[in-house]
Order: sequence, then C-alpha cells, then structure tokens
Amino acid sequence: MTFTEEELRLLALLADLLSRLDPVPPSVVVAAAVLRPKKP
Amino acid sequence: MTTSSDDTVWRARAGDENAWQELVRRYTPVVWKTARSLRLDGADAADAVQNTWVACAEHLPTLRRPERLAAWLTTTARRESLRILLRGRREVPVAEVDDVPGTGPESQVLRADRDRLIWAAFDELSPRCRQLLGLLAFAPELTYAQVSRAVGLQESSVGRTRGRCLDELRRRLRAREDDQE
Repeated sequence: MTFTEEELRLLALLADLLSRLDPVPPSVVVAAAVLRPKKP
Repeated sequence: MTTSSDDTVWRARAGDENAWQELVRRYTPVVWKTARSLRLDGADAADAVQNTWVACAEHLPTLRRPERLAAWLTTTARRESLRILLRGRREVPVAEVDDVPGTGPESQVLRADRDRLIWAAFDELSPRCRQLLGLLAFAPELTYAQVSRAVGLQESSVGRTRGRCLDELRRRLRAREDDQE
C-alpha cells in the first residue's frame, strides 16, 4: 500500500497521538517477549 | 515488510531470542491497536495480545509465509479479540472506551493544540474509519489484502475506504483549524 508524503505525515501524527493516549502496557510487552518459539 | 524484518522473522524462527524480542517490540503496538480497535478494555486487550503471541510462538516455526508475519499477527489478534468479546467477560460500553479522558495522566497529553485538533477530528470519524486509520497509522506497510483480513473489509473496498477516511479526517482538521482562527 502506498501513501503520499502528506498522508504518511498525517498517519505518523495519528500514531504518535494514539500511542501516547493508549500505550501498550510494558508488562504486556515483557510477557510476550519471554515467550519462545518452538524449535523447527 | 522490509528485507531486514524478513531477516528478523527468519532468525526468530531459528530460535534467535534477540530476534524474537525485536519482533515483539516492533509488532506489539499493532497487535494492541487491533485489540483496542475492537473495543476491548485494557485487561482483555492484554489477554488478546498475550494469546496472539502465544499462538505466534507456537506457529512461527511452521508458518508457510513468515514474510507475512504482520498480517498473520493482525488477523490472529482480531480473531483472539473477537473470541474474548464473544466470551463476554469484562466487556465495556462503547462510550467508556471512546470518551476523551478529561482528568488523569492522559489529559496531560491532550494539552497541545495539535493533539487536541487531531484527536477531536479522529474521534468524529466513523468507527470503521477509526479502526482503519488507527491500524494504518501503526502499520502503513500492510498490503490491501492484509488490511482486508485485519479489519474485515472486502479487499476491493480497502483503497476506497482508506481514501474516504483520510479525506474525512483532513476535512475535519481543516474545519477545526478554521474555527480556531
């Protein structure tokens, strides 16, 4: 999917705002990171 | 996805713990956003994210197209979120999720004029537009097919809906900027 520079700037502003309003709790990231994929 | 992210997927698939942590760091915001866009509260969204990564840990070594991990994660997150929603536990009213916070730490974020303008314009969009733009904001690299699977739109409708939602967001931003002048 391609975007114009203006659209990407708008989406970046939106991502910045949304991530600050609704950040992923650090505990969620940590819990996910300690999982390990099974060896093939 | 880029070549470097493909390398990360392949390294994680081979058991590289650092690569796995990089994938989690990179894609958890997208998975979180997918769960929240389906109106799960924080605790249920955390469950959905956790379930998604558990599924990923189980299936990554055997994924047929690991280069499409972002799409696989968003689809899985959506399925996990819907399963939790259908289960009905801790489901919250729409207004509780959508309300602009007026007090507490989040209100500090809204002090900047730009943030207020964007939030107000975004909040006025339809739920469909909020879900679509909220996902694209975090994962603009997704293909039309991937977005289609993630948000449940016909693939042929993604481009048109994306354009309409962006136009609507711009229009509402301009109107609010004009009001301020």
